[in-house]
Parts: sequence; structure tokens; C-alpha cells
Amino acid sequence: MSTRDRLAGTAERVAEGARSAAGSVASVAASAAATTSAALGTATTPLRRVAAPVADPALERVGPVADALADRGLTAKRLVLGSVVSAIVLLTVVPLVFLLWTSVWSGFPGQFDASLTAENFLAVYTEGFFDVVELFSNSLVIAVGMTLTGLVLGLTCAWLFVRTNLPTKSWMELVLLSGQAIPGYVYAIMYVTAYGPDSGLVDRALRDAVGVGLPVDVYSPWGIAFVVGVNVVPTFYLLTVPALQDMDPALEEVSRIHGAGAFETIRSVTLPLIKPALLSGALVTFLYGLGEFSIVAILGARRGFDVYSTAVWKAIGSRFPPAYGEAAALACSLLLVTLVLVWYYRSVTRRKEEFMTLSGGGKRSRTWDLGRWRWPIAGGLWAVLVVVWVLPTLVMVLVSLHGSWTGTVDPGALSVAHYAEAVTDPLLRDAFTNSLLVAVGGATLGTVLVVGMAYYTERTNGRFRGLVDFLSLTPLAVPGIILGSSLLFTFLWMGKFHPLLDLYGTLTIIAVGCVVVFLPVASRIAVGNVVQVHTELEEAGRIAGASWLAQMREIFLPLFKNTAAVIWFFLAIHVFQLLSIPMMTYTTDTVVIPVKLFQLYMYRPNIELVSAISTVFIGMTVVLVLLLRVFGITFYELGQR
Amino acid sequence: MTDDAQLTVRGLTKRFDSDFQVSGVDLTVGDDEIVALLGPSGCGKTTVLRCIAGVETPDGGTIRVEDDLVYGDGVSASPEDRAVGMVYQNYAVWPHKTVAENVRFPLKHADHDVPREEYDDRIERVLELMSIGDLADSPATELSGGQKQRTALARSLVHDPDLLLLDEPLSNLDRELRKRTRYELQRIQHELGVSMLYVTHDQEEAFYLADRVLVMNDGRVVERGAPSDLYQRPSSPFTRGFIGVRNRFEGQVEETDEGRVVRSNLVDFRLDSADYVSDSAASGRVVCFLRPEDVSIGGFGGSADGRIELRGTVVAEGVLGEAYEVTVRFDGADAELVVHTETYHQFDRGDEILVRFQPRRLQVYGE
Repeated sequence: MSTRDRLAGTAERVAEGARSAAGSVASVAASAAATTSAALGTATTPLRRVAAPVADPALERVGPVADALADRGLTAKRLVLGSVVSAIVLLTVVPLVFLLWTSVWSGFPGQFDASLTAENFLAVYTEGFFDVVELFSNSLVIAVGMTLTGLVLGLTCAWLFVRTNLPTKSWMELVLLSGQAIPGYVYAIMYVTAYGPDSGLVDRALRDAVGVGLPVDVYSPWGIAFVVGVNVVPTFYLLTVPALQDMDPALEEVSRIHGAGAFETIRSVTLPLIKPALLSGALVTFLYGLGEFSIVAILGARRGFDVYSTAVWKAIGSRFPPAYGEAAALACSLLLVTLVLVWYYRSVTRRKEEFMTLSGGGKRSRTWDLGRWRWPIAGGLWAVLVVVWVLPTLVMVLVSLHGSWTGTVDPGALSVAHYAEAVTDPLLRDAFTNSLLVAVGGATLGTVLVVGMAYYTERTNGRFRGLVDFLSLTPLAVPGIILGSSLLFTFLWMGKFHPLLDLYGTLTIIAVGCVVVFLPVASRIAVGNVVQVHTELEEAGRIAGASWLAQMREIFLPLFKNTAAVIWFFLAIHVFQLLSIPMMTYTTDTVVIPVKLFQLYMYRPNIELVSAISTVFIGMTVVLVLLLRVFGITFYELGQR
Repeated sequence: MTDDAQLTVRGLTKRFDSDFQVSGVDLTVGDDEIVALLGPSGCGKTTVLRCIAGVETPDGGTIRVEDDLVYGDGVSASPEDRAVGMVYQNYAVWPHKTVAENVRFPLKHADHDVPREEYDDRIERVLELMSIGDLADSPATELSGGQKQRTALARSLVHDPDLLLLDEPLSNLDRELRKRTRYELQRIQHELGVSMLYVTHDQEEAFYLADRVLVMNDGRVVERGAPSDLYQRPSSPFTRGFIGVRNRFEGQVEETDEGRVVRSNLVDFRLDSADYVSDSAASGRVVCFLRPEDVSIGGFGGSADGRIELRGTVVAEGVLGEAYEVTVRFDGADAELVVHTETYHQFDRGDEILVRFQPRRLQVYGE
């Protein structure tokens, strides 16, 4: 065999390896997003897809499942499920109660000698403590901008990948989905290093070459909205893909046969059919957009662009004394809006059956031939992918390898000093350790809660099924920062009632808060998959003589363990990356990596170190992903073909 | 009968949200007996079965499994405390266990008399009985439908229960397999002497296997009896229709000088020349059934000797298994008759045809 052949063979094997490694990343990233989006989208077929849940199951069902095995009395079943349900109720309701209380309290949370007052509300809404109108309109700009960005990019990719014969689409999908491994605030930092008006690589390069910088300003409101939107494109993508796959291709074909062009067909046939999936996805992302914190904090600082979340954060974190009451009062108006949206979201995801156009059987989708447009479109899409995802990542890695970054690549300044610091600095090590502890603890707690909750709502006829189902969704309405603040208030008070409850300043409060944030998504995954374990299997166990506990141990849990593992890893990855909760509840002893990154970027301009830490951070996520592969857990079938 | 009854159900009632309910169901299953619960989909037969197993809770009534009160009078035993076995329509074989592990389960968890040392032996024997001895270590996911069926059966019998509940166990099998398994079930029941309560919508299956059949419709037991009686001469029109008689028409009883006469749009006949199935005297509206096999094609020379002869037109004809089926329309009467005959004919649509039948083959039910 000639050298060239051998090289070709090696290249091929490397490519294969890269593909499968990247596939691992993408697949867990896909999991994260797939399970998120598929779980929250819910507009797709129930049974085929492992992660996509059935509509609003617990409430409408009568008959065998709802009635199953009415165990009475104080049994192990009641104890176990009862504690899970109580925990969920407490975790979702109590923080909000304390938020409300703080907003009408004249003193600090934990200060007994104070009274109810309307002053906070007056201060915020009539005396201009915050410019509420501006905050709201800014939040709206972000929410709208990101939803549009995510929708347009996500939908375009989804349609092109699923319905056409676009070349290299599987590679493109890999790139698209890998982005999920990167948290939002890291994106913001990447965009600053790549496209920022001062030290951004691209901006500099353009200036040097053409004399003019980038026409788009990352720090402008729409620029910020775009970066937030970039974060959310994979979610939209993964939401739309199943809906498009389920759609009977004959519907599009018959439109084309009878005279409508491609665009017209998409507009009048495809889009209306996938509307429920899009609508629910848009709702959820809009909700997140209203409460967005980290990216706005990073990019908006320069021009004083504030949204609700940053205003609340600043009121508590930057003012002295902290304006707890006013912050709480401000939060209330946002919560009003978001709770209404969640209610609406719930009703939308219930009525999904109308739009299922399943043609039955596992038939392969027929795709449109793009003809001579194949490569131009592919090229254009690659350009977009590179600009939006690939380049910023590469730039960040480049920056991390520079001793000092001035906006251009300087071979002379290359060093790994920052990586060394990232790994050896004791404070940073503490932060990494804390992050791991929080992630593992949070994931475990969350998994137990969600599995128990799903069993309760799907497999028993408990009285509180509907309530628990609703409560598990309410955290969607509460932006991370506000939830974090609520937890802060809660434990400032709780600590005063009883020392055992004094969780302020511990890692526990961070873990608990993170779990609550992801409760909606995790519970949707669990609920959707409980259906897959047929009740008959449990019943057969009971009839054959096993008690409820024995049955759970031998039948239900073993069959559910793959889903449980998926939920665990999903939670671990997301809790690891979450910024908003720790931001409000950390103390000097309980700093986690996201907080550290944030602080380093904002207060000690050291973008090289920040980039290095981010790279390490993402590396850890990838390692976690590969670990999954080792354990034989593949997310990829979740929400996928 | 109560001493050796394996199962006694009295007055079982269960309401559902819509207006459907199972009401007042009584049944017993004796020692070494197969009782079939036969009825159309949605008649409540599976609900009754599930209430007996304890995976569904009725609203009223009593259930006794071999003299132990498992439901009623404030008692509601959980499924694991009832000494029954159950075979599901979809087998409910646990996918994450092997065949042997599936079958071992009741030995591990249920109340029974088998000593520990004998478990392995038992499992082997019951698997042999089901002809799946060589599949003991196979994961359940590798089994075919028929093999899962046998695994489910083996599992339900391994701990020697006195009562076995079966929920349409053959419905998911293809025709040939169904027939063979039906035969197997009968053989096993004879060998082991286990009592069975067998739920099905397939009349053929019920009549083949059961010693007694209970016919259910719309939540109630409509009729009960031995298969032969129910087949020949059911006392309720519902059963008659359900057993699959294709010719059904309605009529009105009239008093005339010659006695009571039934007037229907097909034919008029004297009530006493037909087979009137009812306790009460006939009057008013009646439902009449005539089996397609009881109608012959062709007229006859000579006297009608009491047979009814009708002239009509062929509107459909075709081969139906081993019989030939003709549908005949009687214009003047605006009625149709389906006729089965063993010899093939070559009728065309529109042909004129003569049919005849004995009036005593007409089964007339009061409404």
C-alpha cells in the first residue's frame, strides 16, 4: 500500500473518530437540547419518540391506569410518593411566598421588627426607583429578538435538513447541536473576543484590511438579542425536526403538483402543520428571554442596557444596603406576565392531537431535490454556521492561548500560562470542586424528585396529580435570577426560624435552586417516558405476589433506569453550567465556576484567563459526554429519528 | 357449590364517568372448570376480570377467591394477597428479565407451598410443559409472540394457583397459532386441573374451551349456560345475534282465526310452526332469526310439505371458505336473506332464485 493510500486510510479513520467523538458531544448536547425541546415542545407524536411526552396526561385519564392498585393506608408507597410530592410543592411554592412577603415588608428578609408596607411597590412603580417601562421594553426586545433569531435559524436548518437533500447536512447538524455544550455567558464572551468593537478579532481584521469595523455592534440591544438567540437555535431545531418528520410528505407534494412553488408550499402547507410545535417552542423561549440574565449582564454592562433580571441583581448585589424589598416588588410585575404565559403554554400543549398528520409505519421521508441550488445553499449555510458558531469558538481558544490579547493573532504571545493558572490556582480549584458537588448533588436530588413525581402523576390516582403537574411547570415562569433572589429571601428568613434551616451560604441552597430551575424540563422527560413502561408489567408483578416496593425494585425502576440516567446527566450538565441561581445565592465560600467566570470577566479584565477557564469548562462537559458513551447511555435516540 | 367454588362473585358493580357501568355481575367458577366470559368489545368483561385480580377497584359487590373474601364488606385485598394467576392479552412479559427469571418471580414473591429447594425443578417442569424448556435463559426481548404467550402462561402456573384469569390470551396470535394454542390450553387445563376464568370476544374460542359460558353485554350478564345450549337455542336475542346468525328480521304478532300469526316484511307464518324461544306468551313485536345454513336453494316439485318457499333476486354471491354464500333480495318484501350452501353455484347478480326453509328453523324471540 502506498503512503498516500495509507494516509488516506488514516485520514478516514481520524475523520470517523472525530465524527463519533463529535457525535458524542452532539448527542449529549442533543440530549440536553433534545430533551429540553422535545419535552417542552410536546407537539409531536407520543409513543414513538422516547423523550417527547404525551400531552397532559394525568388529568384526563379514567379507567385502569388512574385507578390502578388503590393501595390504602400508611404504606411504603404512600410514604415515598408523599414525601416526593411534598418536596415538590414546597420547592415551587415556598420561594414565591417569600418573594411576595419580601416585597411587602418594610425591613430586610429575616428582620422581625418591621411591618407590612406598600412602600416598595410605590417606590418601584410610581417613584421611579427603577425605570420600569424601560426595563420592560428592553426585556421585550431581548425576548422578541432571541425568539425570532432562534425561530428563523432553527426552522430553516430543520426544514433544509429534514425535507431536502442538502449535502453535508449531517455534519452541519453536528456543528449546530454541539453548540449546546456551551453555556450562554461563554457565548457572550466568545462574541466579544471575535466580534467586539475593540478587541474583537474580526473587527480588527476588517479595520486593518478595509478601514471600517463591523457594521453590527455586539453591544447594541439587537446584537445582544442575537447572541441570546444563538443560544436557543438548537432548541428550536430539535423541536421542529420531529414535527417535520411526522408530517406526511404527500401534503407538500400535492401542493407542488398543483402549482404552488417551494416557498408558497412552505408558507401555506408546512408551517401551519408544524405550528403547534413552533408555538410551544416560541412560548418557552420567549419566557426564557424575558428572564434572560447572563448574556445581558455581560454585554449590556458597557452601555447600561438593563433588563428585569439585571436590575434585580444589581438592586440586591450592587447597592448598599441591598434593596431587597424594591427588587422583590419589581419582580412581581414580570411574574404576572410570565405566569399568564405559562398558563397559555399549558393549554397549547394540551391540544396537540389535532395536528398530527402521521401517515403510520416507519416510512422514510421523501425529500425535495434542490437541484442546482444544492451546493450554493449548503455553502451559504456553512458560512452562517462558521460565523455564528465555529469562528467564535476558535477565537476563544486562540485568545486563551495568548499571554496577552490585543485583538490580533500574535504568534509571539502564545503561551499556556493561563491554562496553568486555570488548573492550579487554589480559588479556581475550589470553584471547580464546588461546581462538581453542586452538579452531582443537584442531579441526584432532581432525578429522585422527578421520577417520583412522574410515577405519582401517571401511575396513581392521587388527589393532587393535577396540582403537582401544574406546580412542576411553574418554575418556567420564574427567571433564574428572581428564583435565586426568592431562595435568598427564603433562607434569610428560615435561618432565623431554626438553625437547622439555615442553608444560607451553603452549596445546598445552590443545588436546590438549580434543581427547581430545571424541574419543568426534567419532569416532562420523566412523565413522557413513564408511558413507555406499560402498566401491565407492574400489574403482573403485583398479581404474581410482589408488594409495591418489591415491584418498584424489580420491575419499574430497572425498566426506567435508562430514562433516569438520562435525566441525571441532563441535570448534571445543566446545573454545572447555570449562572443565575449561584449568582444570587453564593458567598465567598461557595463560589462556583460560572460565577467565577463572570466575576473575572466583569471586574478583572482578564479575557485570556476567562477564555482558558471557559475552554477547560467546556472540555469537562465533553468528558462527561464521553463518559456517557462508556456507560452505554445514548441520548441520541431521544427526540431523534 | 360454594364449598368447592374457586371463585364467587356477587353483585359486582363499577361505574365509569360516562354512562357506562358494570352492574350486578354474578358468577362462580368451580373446581377444575373453565368458565368463559364472552361479549363484544366494551361490554365490561375485562373490567370484571381486573376487579377479581385486584388491579381495579369495583364500586360494590363481593369477591371471594376460594372462600377468602378479597373484596366486599370494607375489605379490599391488594393484588399480591390474592391467590390468583393472570395472563394478559399482551403477555406482560418483563423485557429486562430472561424467561426463567420471569417464571421464577411468583415463586419468589407469592404465597405458596413450594419449598425453596424445588424452585429450579418446578421452573424446569413448567417450561417443559409449555414446550419452551430450551428458552430458559433467553432474554424476553428475543421471544416471538407465541413464545411470550407461553412464558406468560408458565409464569402464571408455576406456583400452582387455584384460579387462573386469562384476558383474551389468544387475540394477538395469528390464526394458525391461535388454534394450536387453544388446543394446548385445553390440554394443560386437563392435566393440571386448574380453574380458569377466560375472557374473550371470540365466540368460537369460548365455546371450544369452556365448560360454561357467560354472555355479557353493556355491563351485564345477559345469559349463561353450557356452550351447546347457547349455540342451539339461546334464550336471549342478544346472544342469538352475537353468536353470529346473519338473518335477522322483526315482526309483529297478530291474533287471527287460525291462531297467532307473525307478520314480518319477509314472510308471514304461524307462530306455532316456528321455534318460539321465550317464557312469556308472545304478543306484540318479535325478533326472528334464521341461520343461513338452514335455507336451501331451489324450489321443489310436489308439495311444499310445510316448508316456506320464496322467490327473489340475487344481489351478491361469493365463496366464503368452504361454503357458497348468496344474498337474496325479495322485492315485494324489501328484505334480504343470506344463504349458505355447500355446493358451489354460478349465480350472477340479477338472477332469479328460489329458496326454501323449514319454518321450525325460525327462532322467534319476544322483545
